[in-house]
Amino acid sequence: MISRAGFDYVRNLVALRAGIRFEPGLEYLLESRLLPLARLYKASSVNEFIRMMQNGAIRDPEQNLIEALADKETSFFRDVRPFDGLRRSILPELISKRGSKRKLSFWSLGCSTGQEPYSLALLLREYFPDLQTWELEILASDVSGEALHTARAGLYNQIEVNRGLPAALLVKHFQKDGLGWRLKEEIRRRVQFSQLNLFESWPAPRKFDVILLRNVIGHFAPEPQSEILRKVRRRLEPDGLLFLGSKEAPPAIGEIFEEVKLDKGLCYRPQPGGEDEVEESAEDRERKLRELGNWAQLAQLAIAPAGIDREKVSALLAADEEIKGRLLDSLQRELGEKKMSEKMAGEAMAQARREQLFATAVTTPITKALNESFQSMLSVGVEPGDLTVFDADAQELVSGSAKLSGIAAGRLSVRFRPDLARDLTVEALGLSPEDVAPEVVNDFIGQVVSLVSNLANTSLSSAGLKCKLEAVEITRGKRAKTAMTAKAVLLPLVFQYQSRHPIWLDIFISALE
Amino acid sequence: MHVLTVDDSRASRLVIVRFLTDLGFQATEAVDGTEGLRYLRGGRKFDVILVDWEMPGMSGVEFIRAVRSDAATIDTPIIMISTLNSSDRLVEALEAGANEYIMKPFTKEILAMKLDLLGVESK
Repeated sequence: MISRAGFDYVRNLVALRAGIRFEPGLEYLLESRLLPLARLYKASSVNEFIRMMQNGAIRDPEQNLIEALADKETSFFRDVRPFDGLRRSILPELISKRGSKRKLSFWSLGCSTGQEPYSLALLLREYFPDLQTWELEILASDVSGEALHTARAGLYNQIEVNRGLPAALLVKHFQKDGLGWRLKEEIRRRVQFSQLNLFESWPAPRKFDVILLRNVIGHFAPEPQSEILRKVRRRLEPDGLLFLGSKEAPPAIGEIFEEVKLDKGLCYRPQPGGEDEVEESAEDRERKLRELGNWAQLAQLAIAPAGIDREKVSALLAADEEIKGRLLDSLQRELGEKKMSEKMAGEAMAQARREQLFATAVTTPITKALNESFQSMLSVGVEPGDLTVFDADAQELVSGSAKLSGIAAGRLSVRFRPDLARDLTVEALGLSPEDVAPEVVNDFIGQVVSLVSNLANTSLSSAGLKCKLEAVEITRGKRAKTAMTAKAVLLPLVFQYQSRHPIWLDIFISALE
Repeated sequence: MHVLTVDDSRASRLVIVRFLTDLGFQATEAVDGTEGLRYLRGGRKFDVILVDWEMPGMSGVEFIRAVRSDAATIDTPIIMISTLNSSDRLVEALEAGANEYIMKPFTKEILAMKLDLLGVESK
């Protein structure tokens, strides 16, 4: 279990450095996300990993944490309406205004794995073919280097291309590549990706026609929200437009932008002014905090220099005993306020245990292929409330050769018919049948069984699981469908842990025919 | 909003109907293409049709062609839902007249997003 001091250290660091919020009560979640990182650095536990970071044994600890903890949720044409608005009114208007310059520029901020800027590129390609002779610029930035790596590759798994991407665009602009789909080079090269942490200094201001800042700043504190919005204003043409997430309404927005109503939804145009504003430097920020006597914030700066000169802060601390004392006081006070209720602590611990089991299972190497397929599945987010659990009726719907049965007394036993076990192994590992020795089958099925067992324990101890699953059997179906069956077995396991929801039985059953 | 779901698998229909109900749609089930066409030709009005590809008798693609050949349903949005996931199959379904395609396995969120793309709203 992550220590409270460790939790607070990480939480403060990522909040200050990248606006990532982990409220008390989410210790288990934080720990489960850090566990793979701890393993990577060969730490025996997350607590040890945190100590290693504090002792300077980890290079660039902040970026490591950001990679592990940043929200990567995205989808093609997310929420549809902003893209409809661009297509129907915003772009036609901009195109007529820019007719003499024949130039348009877009910036997708917080682009995650690239679906947003690529949706924009696809939209321009499909609906505004005349723009092909214009100078079009689509920039896309994100704080996570890992997300940008995926974005540049333009390779998405089946679930990602199922989410929000029109099928007609999928077949026209993507090519099947292994288990995934790769966006064709022609669209990929339209987008330039770069790494940017919104909490650090931004590239020098230059003007864009449209900026997308969707589902990025909604959960930031008001102060950075307003600062970021001001920076965005300085980078928009006076008649340029800003899109926020459909449910985002930062308190400061009205002072900096004015609403532009679309047929459905809205976007924003810069309020006049702001041209003379100078972006706050790290030194300014430090000075302001000192003047305000905001010791808590200063203390955090000392823990996690957010783009400021680390040596300067050290010098400041070394030079001024009084400040140092007050910093420490306020740090302690902050920590003291974060006592969790006992119930919450208990729940967090149980959850952490489950997450650990999962992390252990998925990080145990079986084969590279299997691990990779797990990794790609892990990148898929599941929203709370998405889940439907089947009732006892489900058991009579399917019958077949592999048996998941006997959920009782916290145990689930799994039996696979030998030839099915072999087919599953072949499909899941992507090997030819001749190459699959009986030991490989045993090893693979053993892994599946242990995952399923963990799953059963989790399900039974989870308060969320209301129904009792007596016996669910998997229909093997035609041989051609074996791959699906393999996915049907693996996906729910992964989703279960990834989402911390009860069995992902919908997918399980919908994959069967 | 009323959705017709055509699928020979009871398990699949159960999942789809559950998803649709949760999303605020009314659903009618047909166990094969013939029954689906009977509902459509019997004058019942549907706002969207979801159809499986591989069914005994009439395939999903044949069903779509039949739906499209009828003036009354020529514009009704159709989503094909199938485990078949090659580019050629997707193209075949779209050319037959499907408006969208969902590759199994899928989630409720994916179905909602596809309905959203077709401009179909539950209310």
